[in-house]
Amino acid sequence: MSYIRCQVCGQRASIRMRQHRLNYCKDHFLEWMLKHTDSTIQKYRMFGRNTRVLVAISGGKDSLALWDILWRLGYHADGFYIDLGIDEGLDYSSQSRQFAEQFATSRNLALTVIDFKKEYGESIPTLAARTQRGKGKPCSICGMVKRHLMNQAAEQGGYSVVATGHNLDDEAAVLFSNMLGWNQTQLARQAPALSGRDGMAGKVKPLFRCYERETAAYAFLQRIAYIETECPFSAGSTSISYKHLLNQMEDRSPGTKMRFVMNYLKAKEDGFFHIENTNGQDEGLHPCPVCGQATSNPDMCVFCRTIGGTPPDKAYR
Amino acid sequence: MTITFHIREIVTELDLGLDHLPLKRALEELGLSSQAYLAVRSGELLTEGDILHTGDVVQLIPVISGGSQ
Ligand SMILES: [Zn+2]
Ligand SMILES: [Zn+2]
Repeated sequence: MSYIRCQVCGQRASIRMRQHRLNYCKDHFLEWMLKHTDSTIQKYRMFGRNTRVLVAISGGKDSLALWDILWRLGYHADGFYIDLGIDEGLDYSSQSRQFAEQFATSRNLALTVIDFKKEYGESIPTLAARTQRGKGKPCSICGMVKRHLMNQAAEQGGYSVVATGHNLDDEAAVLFSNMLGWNQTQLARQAPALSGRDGMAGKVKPLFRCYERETAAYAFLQRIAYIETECPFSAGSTSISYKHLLNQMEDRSPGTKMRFVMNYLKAKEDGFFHIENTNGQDEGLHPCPVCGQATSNPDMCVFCRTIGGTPPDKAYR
Repeated sequence: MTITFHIREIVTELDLGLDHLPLKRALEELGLSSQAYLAVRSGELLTEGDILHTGDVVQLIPVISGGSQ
């Protein structure tokens, strides 16, 4: 029988990671994922053994794989799920919520659920439809709402760090997009770990060195039930089309995605994307008079303005 | 002389007149990136070097998800 063998035990390999020149069977791959993630957490000083970490859970493979890994590694990681009310036709939110709740229950983990529609009176699609920023692109509103609620939950719950399940393909797609537009601000800012400041939890991505295929393989091999269908609004998004493009390059030249992201971080460290007043973004920040979160807006933060029903033409300047 | 692929609800059959071929070649024939799918046969995750045989049923699990950061 011809097959690729696990380099640890010699059994049939379940996964081949050409970018690392590693082939593993199921057990040795699962073990490797734990070690690899832990070394990312330590190398990038994301958090320590006693840090209370809030994990942003979507019900998808990446966030659940991350939570599972942190739990197995013995970190203090609680989950946070936002029911966005995206249910038209596809029950996307109710299904993903079920996966998140099942996962937490099966491992006896703490999951905080916020039902956006119940708390704020309307679903994300409805909110997006009536605001300037959200018209035709609900993902922008959705991202803003998620960031806001995550910060709020971290502050209220006493978590100093928020962890998200972004994988290397996510980072590569965002980087690709920022480079195509030479978006200097974003290019200077994209990072696997951002430290917190007053009223704002740190943000970390412990899976950012894992290919998307690996997080999917981890979820599959660990038998984690997750929502496979996409958010209906992300269908045809540019980030997905960039991922397909990057995968074509990866197929021809293994390691392309990894080099793209890791060499970018190196270039950034070397000052390639240095913007002059790095403190500039912190200056002019003040607490929002309604919710208290730091904002650069002259008055209320974007979230409070949006929720407050400020007329669309005045909402975003 | 076919190999059957299931991608969610979609069923595709591949018949190249061969009685076996590596997964890598099958994915190329289907025009799919090996980065974008997990291939599973009888509950086992396959690598691109595994050989598929006539009559095999392979489940392809899409791994790409998208959305905002
Ligand atoms: Zn092994
Ligand atoms: Zn506010």
